[in-house]
Amino acid sequence: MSAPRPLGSWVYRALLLAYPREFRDAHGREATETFVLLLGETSGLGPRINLWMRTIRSVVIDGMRERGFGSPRSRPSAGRWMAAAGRLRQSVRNGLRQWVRSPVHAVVATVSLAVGIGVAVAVLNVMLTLFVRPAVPGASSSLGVVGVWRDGNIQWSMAPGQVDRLSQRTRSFVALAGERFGWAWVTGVGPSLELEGSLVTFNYFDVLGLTPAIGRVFHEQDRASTATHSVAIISHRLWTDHFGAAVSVLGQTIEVNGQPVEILGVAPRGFRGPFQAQARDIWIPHELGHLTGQGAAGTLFRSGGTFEVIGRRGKGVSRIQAEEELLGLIRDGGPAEVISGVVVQHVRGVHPEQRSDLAETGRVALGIAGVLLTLTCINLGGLLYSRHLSRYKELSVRCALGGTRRGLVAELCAENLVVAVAAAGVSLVAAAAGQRLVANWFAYGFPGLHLPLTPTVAGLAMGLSVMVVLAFTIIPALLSTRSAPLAGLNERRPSSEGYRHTSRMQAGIAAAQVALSLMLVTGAAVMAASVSATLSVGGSDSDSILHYRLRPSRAGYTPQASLDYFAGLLADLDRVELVETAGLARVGVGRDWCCPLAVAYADQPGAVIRKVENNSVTAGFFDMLHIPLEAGRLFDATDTPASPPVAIVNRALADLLWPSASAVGQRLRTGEDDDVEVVQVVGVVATTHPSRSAEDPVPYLYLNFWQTKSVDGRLFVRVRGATGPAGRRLQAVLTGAGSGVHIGQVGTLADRIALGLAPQLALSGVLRASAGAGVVLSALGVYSLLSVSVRRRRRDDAIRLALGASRGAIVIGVLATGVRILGPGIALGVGLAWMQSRLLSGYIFGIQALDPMILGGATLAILIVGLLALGLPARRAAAVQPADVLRG
Amino acid sequence: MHAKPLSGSAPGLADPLHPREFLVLVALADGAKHGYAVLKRVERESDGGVRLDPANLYRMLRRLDRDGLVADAGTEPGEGGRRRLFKLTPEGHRQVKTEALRVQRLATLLRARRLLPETGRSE
Repeated sequence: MSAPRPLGSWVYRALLLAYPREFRDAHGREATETFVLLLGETSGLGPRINLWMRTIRSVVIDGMRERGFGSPRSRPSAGRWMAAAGRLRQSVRNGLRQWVRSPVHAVVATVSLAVGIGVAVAVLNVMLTLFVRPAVPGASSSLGVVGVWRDGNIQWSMAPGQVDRLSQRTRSFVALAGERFGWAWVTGVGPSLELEGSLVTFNYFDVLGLTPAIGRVFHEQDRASTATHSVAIISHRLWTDHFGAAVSVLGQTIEVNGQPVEILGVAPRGFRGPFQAQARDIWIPHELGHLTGQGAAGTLFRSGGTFEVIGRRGKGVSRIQAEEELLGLIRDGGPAEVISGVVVQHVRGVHPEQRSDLAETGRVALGIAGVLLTLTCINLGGLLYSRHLSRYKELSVRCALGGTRRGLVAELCAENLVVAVAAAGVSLVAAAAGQRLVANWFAYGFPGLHLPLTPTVAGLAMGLSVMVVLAFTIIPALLSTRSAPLAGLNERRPSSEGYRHTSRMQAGIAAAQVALSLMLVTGAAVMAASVSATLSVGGSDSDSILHYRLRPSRAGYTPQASLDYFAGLLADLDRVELVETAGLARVGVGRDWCCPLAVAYADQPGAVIRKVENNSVTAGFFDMLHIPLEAGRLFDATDTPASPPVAIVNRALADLLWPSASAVGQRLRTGEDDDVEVVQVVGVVATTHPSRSAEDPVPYLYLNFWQTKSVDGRLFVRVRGATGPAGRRLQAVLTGAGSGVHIGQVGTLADRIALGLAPQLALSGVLRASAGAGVVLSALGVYSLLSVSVRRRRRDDAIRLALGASRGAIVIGVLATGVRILGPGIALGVGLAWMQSRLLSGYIFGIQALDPMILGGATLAILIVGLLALGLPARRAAAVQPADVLRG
Repeated sequence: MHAKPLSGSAPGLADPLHPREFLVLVALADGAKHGYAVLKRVERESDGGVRLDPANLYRMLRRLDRDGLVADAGTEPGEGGRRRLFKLTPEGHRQVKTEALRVQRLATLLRARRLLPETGRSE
């Protein structure tokens, strides 16, 4: 038995329809087989999208050429072109007239198409931005980011010295540039700013091929001429928002991390970093970094950090050649290097590290867009089919009068193209208006995501629109022009077999729409509930917890002075009425909940057991997050910097380390090499972790905040009532508590946790929009089907009324037709929702992937929308006047 | 017909082969190959610059076959059935050589005008 064909094979065979049959018979099988091999060896979403785009363009264009279109042999004369254009003009004019005669049909078709195409294009635009579109204006494919394989993982950074050495010795790259991220505390521009910035090599902008909007980029000469102060290039956004886009910014001196920095230039508009979703605002040469990187600024632009490396390959040098050369150069560097390979990836979309994280989410989002597009196609197909059927008599008469079938089909296509063009325009307007919404889906994790509607995207919307319309025009047009004129006239009678057949087909189409909508609505509701459950830390609402990053280090505090400052701050907050409870931690939660620490039994010599997540916290931290104590005690006043270090473990860590004994009183060795400390466990708390499900318990170690040496910390405050007034009151307390302490990253804990939920939030956004569009489409589908049905039955209903039937019986008849659509649709939708839940299960936390309550609610919602869509046709049926209808 | 024989005279600079067709003929110069092998060879030898769609490749091979530059060379087993092999005809070999001489002449001319470096990296 032969292996099943992959989906790509079917799609490619469908594309080959662009070629003549004789070509397909001769070469179709081999071409498809070759394409499947190519598809199989292409990994990653971005390259696959590229391959498909290239293939579609090539097959369609070459297929048409093979059919004789556009080739010199078959090029029609100017006269033939003029005649064809004239016929097209006439067809379009006829089409416009037809649509004007039935405006409801026109609006329903346009809205259906615009909604489906608009959302699908918005999702495709996001995928293009994340995986394909370069963030560097005018970037060429020769730009590449360099990573090295070390211990089975790819590392996307190198030591600065190694970057310099490689840059000098490489022949594959014109040059290599390095970049290191850091926070920049900028003063001298009005209110103080906390910005994302980068330390870069002098050649950074040259390698990226960027020309500044004003001023100049860094030169090697800056090294000598700026011995006393550093220089910087700022982003276009910073220039316009904080310097009023004044040219006088050039040469102006600002303070970065307390040190003077002269502004040399402004980066081109739209550039915020070499990858999408980066939001750098200031670039300072790494070679001058010592001027901003020492002392107080040292922790912002961390000294001793590593560089991300970007290079521009020389002409004619392939990526493989470049990788092989760099690997050789790195291995020549010394025996200490344990590098098994080098990778050079295109500078496109988001950083390769994020790209792999997002690939799965991207696939699911594309799948959802595909479902929505299918829904649109079904809707439009049903609509156009019923419209063509309603013109059956007219078409039959035209056939009888000598109209050719080809001519009629062409005219119907031209007529519907009017709708396609209108819908593409509306969908683009809707997509442009919805860009802010789409960017909001990705606000967490990708704060600077720029989603432009480029000509490519506009072309995509137009192309999709035209393709969908043509696909769903040609078949109904062929069907409605196939019969002999007399048969066509007969087939409109309600008693005929053809009528029953088409009614069944249309009811099936409407039921499929209801089913797909129910699936999308259920998915959207489940995702929303999951995100909501994840944001509730310890069963509490994290929206009411405010989060601050406090940096006494900015004001030159010593560790002891910093502890005094934090103790005083907690005492001040205790007196504020709006504060329910407050806690301190060294690192944040959510995406920052990290920094694994090696642990081992203190009393048993041996290797590290494992690395565990950890944080240094105060006792109030547990109260604030509602993490219950299960054994021992929390930190208290007896735990001072001078007393023996203590720690608290969560239940998962306690069970891991001491499965058959109590954890309280045990001693642990933490850290590695020369940074080792022995701590005594004084308590065990419940296993609670934000952004993790209860089924995935994470071992966690809590150290005592007051016994750690670092100077900075995070403050979490649970407030009473709204966060707005409480936040303003807290700001005053914080400002008064310590002079010069930098207060950054103000927001709610929910916002911080959401940073780690970027894929779920994005997917939730896609599903919400798709579900909304799906409900609109299915309501339109049910409405248009019943409208046609009521119009067809008008004469029958009039006769029944004339013979004494009540109007209520007529309405019940319409409603029964509607229920015959909604019933099977909902049953099928439940099945589809179950299948979808398996797909989404990896993204669902805290609730069941197919929650019965959510499924019930979604079903009810779809039922209500469906019944509302039935209402108008039912009212119209009840309003039939027998005398008027029978007379007419 | 796209390729025009130069009837034994020194190759001129006019009437070149289409670059993609030239790459396909070069790919077949060292022996018969099936479509997929030709496609990968072209991609590799053009440093990824020329990526042919399979249908486009078969269309090109058919045209070259009609022009007498390429011929059928039997079949070999593949995953989805037997795969046809293609080989250069003597006329195809001659055309490749003619085109290569033309490119060489062009390169010599460009070097003489200092529009191409003598050797080494281009950048």
